[in-house]
Amino acid sequence: MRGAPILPTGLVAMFVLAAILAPIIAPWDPAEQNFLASLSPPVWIDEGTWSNLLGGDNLGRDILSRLIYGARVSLIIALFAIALAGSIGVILGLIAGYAGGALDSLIMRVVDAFLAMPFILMALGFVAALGPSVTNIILVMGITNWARYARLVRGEVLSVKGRDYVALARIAGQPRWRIGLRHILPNVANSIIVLATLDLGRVIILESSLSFLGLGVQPPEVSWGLMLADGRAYMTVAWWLTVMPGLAILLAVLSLNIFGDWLRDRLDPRQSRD
Amino acid sequence: MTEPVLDVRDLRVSFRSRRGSVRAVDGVTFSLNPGEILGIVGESGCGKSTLCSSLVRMLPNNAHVAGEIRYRGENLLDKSDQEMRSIRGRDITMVLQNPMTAMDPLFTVGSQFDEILRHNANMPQKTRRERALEMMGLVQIPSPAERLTSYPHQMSGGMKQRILTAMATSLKPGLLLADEPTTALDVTIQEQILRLLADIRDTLGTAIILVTHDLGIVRRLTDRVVIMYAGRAVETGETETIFTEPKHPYTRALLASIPRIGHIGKRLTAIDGQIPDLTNLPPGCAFAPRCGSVMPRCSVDDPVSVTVGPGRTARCWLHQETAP
Repeated sequence: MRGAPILPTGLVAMFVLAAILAPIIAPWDPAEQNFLASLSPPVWIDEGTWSNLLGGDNLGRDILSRLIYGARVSLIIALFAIALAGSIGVILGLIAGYAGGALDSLIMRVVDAFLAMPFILMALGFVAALGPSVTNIILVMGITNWARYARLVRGEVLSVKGRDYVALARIAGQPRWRIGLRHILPNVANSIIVLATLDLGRVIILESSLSFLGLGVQPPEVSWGLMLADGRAYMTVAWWLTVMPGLAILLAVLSLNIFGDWLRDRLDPRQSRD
Repeated sequence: MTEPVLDVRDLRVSFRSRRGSVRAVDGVTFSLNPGEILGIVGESGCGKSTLCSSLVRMLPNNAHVAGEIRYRGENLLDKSDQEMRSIRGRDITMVLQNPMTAMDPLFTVGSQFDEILRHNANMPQKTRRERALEMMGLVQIPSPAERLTSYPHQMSGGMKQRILTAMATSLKPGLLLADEPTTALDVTIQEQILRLLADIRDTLGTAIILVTHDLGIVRRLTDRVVIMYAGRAVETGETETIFTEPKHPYTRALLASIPRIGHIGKRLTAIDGQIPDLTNLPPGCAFAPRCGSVMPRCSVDDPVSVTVGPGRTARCWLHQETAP
C-alpha cells in the first residue's frame, strides 16, 4: 500500500467499513420513521439537531443511517455483480484469446453486440421480465457488463500467449488447458483486478441509476439511488435529501476511480518490474 | 554405424497466406547422430527457426509440413498430438533465444523447474528436487538451493539461460534444439553457454541442433553444418570440410564476409543484394541474383541437391556434372 493516495484510499476504506459495520455504527434503524425529524435539516443548520446529524428525510428517517446502510447495499451489489460479470467475461475472453479461430470471432461478435446495446434499455427489459430485487439487479448487471472483461482478457491473452515462456511450456509438453490456467491466467490477473476496481465505481452508478428509476432496490431496503429518487420531490425545500446521497455517490465513485488508477500504475509490470 | 537420432528427409514447410503460399523450408535433408552437434546457418528469414519449430511440430495452424522427420526411426509427422506432447519435453527439448522472456515472471525458478519434471517424468517430489539441484550444479549455478527460490527477475540473463538449459536437459533428452541461444547475451556469457552446450553433449550424449548466424560459433562447436538460403539447404556436410573447402557460392560468400583480425584498413566483404522475398522467389536458383558465379541456366532452372563428397551435398549447378 506504499504510495497510495491517502484521501481516496481513506474514503474507500471508510466506505467499506461503513458497509461492514452498518448495524453497529448507524445511529438509527434506516427504515424507522420519526415524524418529529421529518425534513429536519443537518446539524449545522439552524433547526438541525444532534440526533439526526445529516438531517431527516420526508418520512423522518435518519439520512446518515440510510447512507450507511446504502453503502452496504451498494457494495454488496457491486461486488457480486462484478464477480459475476468478471467470471463470465474472463472465461469467455480466455477461451476466445486462447482458442482463436471461429470460436474467437463468434465470442467477440457477441461482445460487440453487448457493448453496443444501451445498458438502461437492456436492464429495463431484464427487470421487467424478472421483477426488481437485489438478486435480479446483480444478475442484470452481471449479464450486461461481462463484455468489457471478455474484450480485455482476450487482448491480454493474445499478448501473453506469444511470450517465450508459454512457447517453452508447450515445448515442455504441457497440455493447453494447463498452460492457460497456470501461465496465462495469472499473467493477465493484474489487468482484471484493475478493471474490476475501476468498474466498482461504474457499477455503483449503474445501480443508483436503476434504483433511481425504480428498477433497482425496492423499499424498505435502502440505496443511494433510491434516496435520490425519494428526495427529488423535496429538492426545493430540503436540498439535503438529494445532496447527501448525491455526495455519497460522488465521493465513493471518485475515490474508487483514483484508487483504481493508482492500482493500475502500481501493478503495471512495465513500471514495477525489471 | 550408429542409428541417427534424427533423420530429416525432404522437409517442406509452407504457410498459407493471403498473398499465396510461402515456402519457408523447401526440401531440406539432413541427419544427426547421437552426441553430434549440427549447426544450421543462414541469414535472417532463411527458415532456420521455422525448420527448428517444425521438428517439434510447433508451427502455427496455417503451416503445412511435408516430408519425413524421423526421430529414432519414427516419423514425428505421423504422431498424434497426444504422442507429440510426450515427445516434447522428454525426448526433444528446446532452448530459446532470449532468456529474459523465457521464464514465467510469476513463479520461482524452483517451481518452474519442478513443473517440467513433474509433468514429464514420474518422480516423487524429493527426487525431482534432487534432480533439479543436480542439474543446477551441472550448469554451474552457485548456491543452487538458494536459486531455486529466486524469481526470474532476480537473475542475470546468462544465469537464466544456463538454468533454462538445465531445465531443457534435465530429463536427458535425445535431442536439444538451441535456437540462437547466445544471440541475446553478451560475448563473455556467450562463451559460458557454448561451453555448457559442449559439456552437455559430452556428459549426457545429447544431440544438439544449434541455430545461429555466427560462423565462429559454428566452426568451434559443431560437427556438421546445414547452410540455408531462402528456405533451402544449399550446402550440407562436415563443418571442417565446409569451412576449408566450401562448394556452394553462397557458403563461399558467407565465409568471405567473416571479418578477420589483421585485415586492418580493408573494407569488410559483404554479399551484395538482399535475400529474396519468399512469396515471390525468382525462377531458378534463389541465390542466382546475388551469386558471383552465376550462369545462364541458374536463373531458369532450380538446381537439386547433389552429393559432392562423403556426407556432403550442395545445391548448385556448378556441381551438377559431378553427380553420380
